[in-house]
Amino acid sequence: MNLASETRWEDLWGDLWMVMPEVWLVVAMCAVVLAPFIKRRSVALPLGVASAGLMLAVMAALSSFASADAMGTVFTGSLVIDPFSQFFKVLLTLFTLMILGLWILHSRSQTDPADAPDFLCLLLGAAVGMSLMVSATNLLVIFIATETASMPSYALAGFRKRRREGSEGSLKYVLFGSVSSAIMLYGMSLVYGAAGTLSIYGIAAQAAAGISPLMAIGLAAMLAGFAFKLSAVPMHFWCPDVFQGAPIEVTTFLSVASKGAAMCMLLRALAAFAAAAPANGYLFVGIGVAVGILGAVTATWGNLVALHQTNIKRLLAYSSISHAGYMLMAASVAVIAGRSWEGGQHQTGAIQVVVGAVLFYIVVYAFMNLGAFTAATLLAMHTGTEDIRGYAGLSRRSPWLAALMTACLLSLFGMPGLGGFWGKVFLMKSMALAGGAGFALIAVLLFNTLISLYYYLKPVYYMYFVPDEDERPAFLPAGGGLAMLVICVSVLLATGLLPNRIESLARGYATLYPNPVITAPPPLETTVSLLESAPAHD
Amino acid sequence: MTHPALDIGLTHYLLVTTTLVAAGIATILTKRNAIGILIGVELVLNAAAINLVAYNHFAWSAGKGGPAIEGVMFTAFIIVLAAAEAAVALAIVLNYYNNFSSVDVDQADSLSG
Repeated sequence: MNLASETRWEDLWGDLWMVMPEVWLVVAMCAVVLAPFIKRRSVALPLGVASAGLMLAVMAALSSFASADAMGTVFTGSLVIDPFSQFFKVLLTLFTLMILGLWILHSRSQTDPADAPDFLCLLLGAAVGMSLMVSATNLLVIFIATETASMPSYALAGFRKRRREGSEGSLKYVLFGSVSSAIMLYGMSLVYGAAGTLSIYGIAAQAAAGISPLMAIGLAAMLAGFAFKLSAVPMHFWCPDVFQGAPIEVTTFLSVASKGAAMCMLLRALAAFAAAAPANGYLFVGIGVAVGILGAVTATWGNLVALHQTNIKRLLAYSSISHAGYMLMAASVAVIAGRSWEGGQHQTGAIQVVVGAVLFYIVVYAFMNLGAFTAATLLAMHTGTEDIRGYAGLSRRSPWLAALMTACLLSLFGMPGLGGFWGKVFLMKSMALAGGAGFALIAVLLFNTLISLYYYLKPVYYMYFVPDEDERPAFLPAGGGLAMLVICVSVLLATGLLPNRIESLARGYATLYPNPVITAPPPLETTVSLLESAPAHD
Repeated sequence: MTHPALDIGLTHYLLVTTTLVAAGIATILTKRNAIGILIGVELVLNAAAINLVAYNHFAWSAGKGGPAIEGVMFTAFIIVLAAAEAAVALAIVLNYYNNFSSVDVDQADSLSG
């Protein structure tokens, strides 16, 4: 980014057309807050405005695929619009629309109509932050986008102000979140000090020339911030508590959208580093190995703790931690396999395979998690419990709901024939690119899948094999919820039966904007001496 | 001619910010009061802000076609975002106080497992 170069206003207006998805989301966010001035205590009006804004954002994101002119860098290179980011934005906005559906189903009747615009405004605000996260290529924008996504999420987690669990969950969320974002910010300041630029491409180019201790500490602190958003171990403590305390539609939103956006942001940064890697850059392999170990530990820890959970939201929270771990493990391969093990030739194709696999996984994960949470919502509405022991005899009382929920849980486990299986297969295929380290990762993934079978089958066991002692009556769940479940399961079946077509589709969208040619500022002599005379940082 | 130790340079700023970060992290780790933790967070945020301005001024002030202002710009955003974050966090702490009549984070253990 060179601010001093001539930036003309016409260029900035032109750039605005390329970020139309975000523009529509921001417009809708503002309009939703103003809706009560037109019609007081109306839920339909702000809901309509929010849905319209989201649909316009979907269309804007889709239309950017129409012409090659709509892709590129905008705002002096601080945002990148590429197929990868636009694909995620389409998924994110569609997913947010479904979250609105879940909200109508579950919380609308319990929410004061005067609070509805606030909820919608916060949800749209978080969506703006997440869609900026996937486009960000600049530390400043990464920080602003992460905060824009986080702050509404804190408030959403405690949206039901009278619920004690909700307020406790949101307190933990905001404390953990602000601490980790402060540490991430401090890391960014150190990276800026070492590299002299905020662009991730510039930083990657500087790091390729040699990673100083200052930059290593800064990058590690930044990774801690990403780990918080992904709820990777050891920054995962907030996740189960927030997921349990928050309203279920917020839990679903956070478990998919927030983690997906953080994953995409990390992938973009890792890909930038991998593409800049020098032929003999073993330090870069170190970054990849660090991310891989983080992912392996996260997946294993999440699965082990999930084993003894009895609350369905907590169980799915730990399951989402382990899924984030799987994606992290694959993401690490982007750096490790970004350069081949012999010859030092860059394998740019490897990055695309990894990004495609993770994108496919995010799509599948979004639908299977949405399905599982929708089923849990419907069950909580009818049985009044989130405890899986309350699911006893469900196969008799509501066979359709039981079958659909079982499909989602089995897909989360990775049952062949459903999308989750192919998601894991493609992750493993991309891991195999990294040679020996990759096979270690595959072993960890398989081991974890085995562990997870136990806790995914636990609700299924209660639904099908434990008779209901209270003899509760049969029920038919609300039509809207059932329709959403059917959509989710049909997506899982489609991805399960036509995996190659959809995977090649995802890989087609996995085209990242290439690293621009960097003319990195030469390290100033004074800087070097000053940095070395500051041992307190090392 | 002033004494060399009085010639304020990057190192002095870095010493200040390192002290601030250490104090902030110590506060975060030892305080049980939610407000105390937020004060620790503010210390870390301000350390980062001073770092950015200092690095910008002493190390990276010369851009290609004029003065580079990335670090200074970043700091302006940090000031705004820190205020926003404090507002959200204090609202949540207040709501927690309404429900539990306490802001002691050690008592926030009704969700666990």
